[in-house]
Amino acid sequence: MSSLLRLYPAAWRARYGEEFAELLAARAPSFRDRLDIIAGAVDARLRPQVGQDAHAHAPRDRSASVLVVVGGTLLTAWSVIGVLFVGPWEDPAVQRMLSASYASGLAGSVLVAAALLLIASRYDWSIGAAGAVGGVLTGSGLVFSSFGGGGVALLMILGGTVMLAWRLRGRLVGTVPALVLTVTTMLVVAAFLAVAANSWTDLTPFYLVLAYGPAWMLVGLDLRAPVRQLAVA
Amino acid sequence: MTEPLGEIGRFAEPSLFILASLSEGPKHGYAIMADVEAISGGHLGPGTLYAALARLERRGLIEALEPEERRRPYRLTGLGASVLRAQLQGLSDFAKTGLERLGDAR
Repeated sequence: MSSLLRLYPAAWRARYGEEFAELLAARAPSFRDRLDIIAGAVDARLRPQVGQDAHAHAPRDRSASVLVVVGGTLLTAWSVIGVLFVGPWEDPAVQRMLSASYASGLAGSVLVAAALLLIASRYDWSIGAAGAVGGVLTGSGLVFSSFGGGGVALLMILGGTVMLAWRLRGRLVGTVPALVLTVTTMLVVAAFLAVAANSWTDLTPFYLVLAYGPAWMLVGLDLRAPVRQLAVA
Repeated sequence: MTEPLGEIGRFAEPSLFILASLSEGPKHGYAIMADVEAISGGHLGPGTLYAALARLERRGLIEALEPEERRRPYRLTGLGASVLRAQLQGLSDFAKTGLERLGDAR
């Protein structure tokens, strides 16, 4: 019977193999059962329910995903407009574009914060208290930063994102988007600190901010409903 | 409430029988298979049983208990009981409407 069991993926066998073999020992499979087991093995390979592959095949969380992707797009618009239309500050056309940039950044921050609240309330059982707190910190830090939160807001965003991304990884998003978001956030906070340190005279580090919105878009595109799994004894 | 089983696709029917079987108490794979075959009057293959069990477990509708020797019992979770109740209520309403219409047609 082990030949039929070998058709299943390794992660499936690790989780169900022993009890499945016990079941087959208790009731010798008929020809029809053997065909059913082969179909089951094909299903387990095409639509994995256990192991690492299960996340990649998990259903998407559409509402949270749309909020984060649109929020990330608005944050991208905020940074692109902000970087393209730097000074002369007294020019009314530049002021209009900077207002548009600010509005886009605020709207993007609110949408990402809403998505993170949704994720924290829906999936706290998966991402844990640290993930939920990280999400709330990041979201409120983003909105706070739009209202002149300064260094405190940056710290909230940085600390919150590190906690959030660490808990999202492998649960709601893959390793790459989680890592990209963490590194990008660190670079953006460093850029703000560098620009603030030179009293906004050299805005070159500000170009790093261009990566922030796309990092959120990447996370949004990969957001999936987490997989509820029990530890295998 | 019907969504958790709806997204299970072709395993929705065996899943409903499995939830109904576990509603009277925890059972391991073989006992579930025998019970489902008794209450449905049909055949339940081992491959289908475990494809459905894996989906139900992943969605938190059932949970695995500590293994007893090499057999692992499963039990219905609170969410599983709510989903089962909603599904059965839906089937009951459907049966009632269908029977009433059949009665009207006679």
